[in-house]
Amino acid sequence: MREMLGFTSILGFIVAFLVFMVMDPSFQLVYICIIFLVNLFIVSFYGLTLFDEKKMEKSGKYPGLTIIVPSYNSEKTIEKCLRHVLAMKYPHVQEVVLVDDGSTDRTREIASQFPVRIMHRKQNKGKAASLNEAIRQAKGELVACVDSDTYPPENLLMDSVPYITPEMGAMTFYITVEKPRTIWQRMQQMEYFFSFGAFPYLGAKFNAVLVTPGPLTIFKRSALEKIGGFDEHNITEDFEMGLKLHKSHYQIGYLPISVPTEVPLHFSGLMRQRIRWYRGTMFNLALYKDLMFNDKYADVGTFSFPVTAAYVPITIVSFFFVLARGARFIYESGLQAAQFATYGQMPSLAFDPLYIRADMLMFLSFLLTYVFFLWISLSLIKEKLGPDKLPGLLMVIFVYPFVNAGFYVYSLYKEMRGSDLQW
Amino acid sequence: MVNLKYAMAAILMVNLFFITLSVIDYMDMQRLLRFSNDLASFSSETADLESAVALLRVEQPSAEYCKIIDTAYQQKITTTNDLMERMLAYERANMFAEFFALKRQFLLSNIQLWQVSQLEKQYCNATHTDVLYIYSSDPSCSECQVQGKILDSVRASCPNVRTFVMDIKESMATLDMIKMKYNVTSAPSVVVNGQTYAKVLSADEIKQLVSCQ
Repeated sequence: MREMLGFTSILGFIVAFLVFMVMDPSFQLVYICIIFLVNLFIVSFYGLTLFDEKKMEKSGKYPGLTIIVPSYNSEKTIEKCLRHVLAMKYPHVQEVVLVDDGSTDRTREIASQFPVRIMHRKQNKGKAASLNEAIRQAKGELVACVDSDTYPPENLLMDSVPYITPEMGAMTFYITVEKPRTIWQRMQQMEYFFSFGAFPYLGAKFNAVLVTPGPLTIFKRSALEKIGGFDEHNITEDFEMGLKLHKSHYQIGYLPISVPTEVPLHFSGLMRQRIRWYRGTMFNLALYKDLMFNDKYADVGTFSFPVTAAYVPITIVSFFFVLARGARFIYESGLQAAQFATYGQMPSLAFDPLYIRADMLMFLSFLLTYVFFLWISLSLIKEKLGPDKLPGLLMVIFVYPFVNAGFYVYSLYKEMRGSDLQW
Repeated sequence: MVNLKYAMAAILMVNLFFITLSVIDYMDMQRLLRFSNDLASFSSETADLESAVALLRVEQPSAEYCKIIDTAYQQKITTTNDLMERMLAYERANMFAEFFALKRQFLLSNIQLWQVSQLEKQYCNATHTDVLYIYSSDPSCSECQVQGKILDSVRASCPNVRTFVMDIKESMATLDMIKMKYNVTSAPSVVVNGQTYAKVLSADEIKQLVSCQ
């Protein structure tokens, strides 16, 4: 049965490719216009909230807080992580708990040099299970879940905890990339600016942050207990947690405080991570489909959730659209080159500035809007767009959309086929 | 009830969409305007040459008359070639603006010019050769583009060659009659010295046919 579904999805991919391959230019334009309109609507919606003044009220309360660091084979980063965690200033840190989820390396040995409580689990059961066990034993009113490869800044808790309102179930932050080295990390750095910068910042104004990022989120323990903690069988428990909080009518807050985290160094690692994310996204979107267009959940139901859901098919279909047009272009120029070669004539490379096509112009206006959002994202944490960010910017504009869409396609295939889920 | 925020976002979306479309339309119009201006003078000059040739046929053909026609022709030959190249490029680039009326006008003037050139040859002992190239505006005709490029290069290396263009898909009385006369049924085709070649001709083949100087 699952094999059949996997086969069907491949068939669907081929059909999509062929349809776009033979599609008339005027229909291509219609497709481009539809995508363009959808994007314009999303951008307009976010753009309008830019002028929404939402006052953040400072409660001045600093309730007790437990910091949980789940870890599994993280000997390379755990020392730096714990040093940052312990350096955080806060009057009522009740406990720092390191959950060692059956590591087979020196994680526990390194952690034992720090004043933290180590919770050892012999068997590796996953991040969600580790967190749940630590949460059950936590005492504070708040729980901060910090990944073992994340380095929170010193003043994070002091600057954020007073802003947690009674309606909130969680407080999220601006996740950034720690010192990017490879080109793939530079690309992810720019991508994180988009996805953890302007969009959640503006989204928080209408309570439409959907994810509680794994690297660092502060939860209210009462909220976690009410909704039953993390789903231990979910591969993207952070997205599931966000949706679950919204379903129980909790709000998710956001503050633009930069929290650096480690990201995959190379393409293979990035691919493994993204396949997990996107499969989790599709799985959870299907799981929480009753949020769709449900005005009981305000803007989450009518905007964020449908937009997140619409993004998946749009990305996948656009992948084949671009692929088919690329294939068509290569086929045509190859044919021409072959004919030119036969008749011994070189093609000319004349360029007329007036010869600009509509789709190029739409691409340009896309680019302008995203540069605008990037600018907001950067100004939130006072980052500068220096020449060191240029390779990442070029990658995120020209390589990322296609690679990312490819990951979505592969994730859809794997999800249809029902291959084993891996963390 | 529709939320005000959604309505505003929708309005903004529509506005942004039309701004983008207007920019595209503006660029189309600019292109068209430039082409249209050049075409207007091209057409009037062609009409001028046509009446000059008509005069030549009524009067006794003389070397002086022929010289006037030839000089006038030489002056505008670069304009013709420039317009021809631009028409072929804009045909693919154009998005919204009505380009086709201009295209028909150009094709007609171009054919008139071809007729002038042939009459000049008949009455004035001119040494040039006329090459009529029939292409197809169908983008799938990649051979047409190859043939066009080959003719460009031939024209650049042989000053005695004059090239003219005709779209096989365009239906006008003059064009249809010429198509019938030379038995043109497919694109790309080339008509040289009254002979039709319904295939891609290489640069060397054309040079032999036109006795390139």
